[in-house]
Amino acid sequence: MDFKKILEETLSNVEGSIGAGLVGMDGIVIDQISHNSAFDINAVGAEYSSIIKNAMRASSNFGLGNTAEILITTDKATMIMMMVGQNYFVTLAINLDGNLGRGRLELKKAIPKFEKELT
Amino acid sequence: MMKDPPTSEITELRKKLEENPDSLVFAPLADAYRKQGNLEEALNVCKKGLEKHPNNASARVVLGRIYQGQGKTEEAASELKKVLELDPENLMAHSLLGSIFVEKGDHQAAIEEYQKILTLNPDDEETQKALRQAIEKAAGEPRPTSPSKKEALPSEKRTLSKDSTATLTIAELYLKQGHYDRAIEVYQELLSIDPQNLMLRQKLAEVVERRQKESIVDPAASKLKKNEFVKPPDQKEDVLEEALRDGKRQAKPKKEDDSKFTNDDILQVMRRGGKDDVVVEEKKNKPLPAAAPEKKAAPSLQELQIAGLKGVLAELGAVEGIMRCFITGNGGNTIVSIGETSNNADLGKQASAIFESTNRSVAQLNQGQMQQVLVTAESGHILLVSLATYVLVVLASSKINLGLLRLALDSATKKLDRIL
Repeated sequence: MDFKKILEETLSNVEGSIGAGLVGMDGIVIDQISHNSAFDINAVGAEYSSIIKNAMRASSNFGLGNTAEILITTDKATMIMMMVGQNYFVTLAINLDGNLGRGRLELKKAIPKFEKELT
Repeated sequence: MMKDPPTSEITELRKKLEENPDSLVFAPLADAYRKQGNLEEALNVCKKGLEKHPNNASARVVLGRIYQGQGKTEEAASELKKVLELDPENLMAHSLLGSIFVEKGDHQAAIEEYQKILTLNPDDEETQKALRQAIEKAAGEPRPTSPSKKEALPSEKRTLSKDSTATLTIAELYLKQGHYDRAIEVYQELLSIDPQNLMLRQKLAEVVERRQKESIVDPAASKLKKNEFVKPPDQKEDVLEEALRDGKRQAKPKKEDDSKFTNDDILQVMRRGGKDDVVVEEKKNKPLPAAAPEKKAAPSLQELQIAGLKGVLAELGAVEGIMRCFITGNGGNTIVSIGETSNNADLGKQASAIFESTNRSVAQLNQGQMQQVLVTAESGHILLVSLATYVLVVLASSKINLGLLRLALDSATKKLDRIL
């Protein structure tokens, strides 16, 4: 199972990408890849998991159904998180000048590949 | 010499390839052999796979790496160039090609590759370092280790030298990418070495002016005060000050890149949040929000402020597709609300929790100050917008006109910022 390959492929196809990772809902990072040493998903896996869980609860409380995607915007970057099945999520960080639309598309393309590997 | 036994990864990948010889799994298998040091088998697997999938860029990158490992730099470079023909923005190929050019002593070509990477990904610190080294080598003079501005010898004339070229190049790259703050930092550093350099002063003034015109209200702008700028002793008119004085509000031009977004409107909402509409004059007169990620305790609001907030939320709530919106303070307490109010307390708490977790993760990843969070669920969106010490929570239907939402949110956040 070479999750890194899928992540690498995703990153290489997205302009302005900083890093990507596959994370379990328990916050444990399955694999990650980064173009920037400061961007270490291992350090924030638990926080990411917490964001997703809170978003899931909020979506449910609002009556909006299951959470599919989260976008976080800062003054430096945008981070996308997408669910991979029920127990994992994939995240991708992109510079503000990067191609976010392409990033979302590439993540959506990567999800079935992860799901195939994880089953 | 005995070869290492196959790793479990190799065994697994080989099994998959045997089951489906046409699959793309040959590329990771070849790479696994390469990592193991079995370059002969890696080359064999990769070449066979490429016969079936000649346009697979990832496999060609692996082949380039194998050749590089075998010391066949010409073949490696040739493969990586093929990758770039297939995928001109393949960062891995640019990076490997850069290292090959360095190996070959062609520093100018290496510089070009590294510049391409930094154009795509300006934050890549490893490439920044590689670029500096390549420029130093190209200049034929190693950069002094840990140069200290203040520790320079008294007799040393502090003017820009060859080693400044690397920094100037990086400043230009930052500028090209619109990273004005970083470009400003680099120019300031260079000016502290050579305060009389008019070219640098002019460039700095230009960047400051451009940022004034294009950027959102940025707390970092407060760093750019006259006393922090190394001013030439005999120069009366400060070009930086002049640029700041002349800075007038202009609408942020729409970037060409925006056309690439598949969901333009929502991304605009995420990126702008209306804050770029705040005028420069306000920045001068109004205290800037704290840059620290931790939020201060929310101050109590006056009745007039509450009334103002309600008015703004009422306007926002009138947009078709917005189901409800409210503002929460610390701990998720609802300050004002429009639309249905059930569950507001719970939802406010969850919004606060999302914000706190996000703030922590963003800070740990060194990704700046958090602005917005968009949660997309099966049948709608939840948008959380940072407003001073409060959070604006907007619940919208999945069928909302995102263009209208963007306009409404721009207008509302501007007004809410003023009130708060």
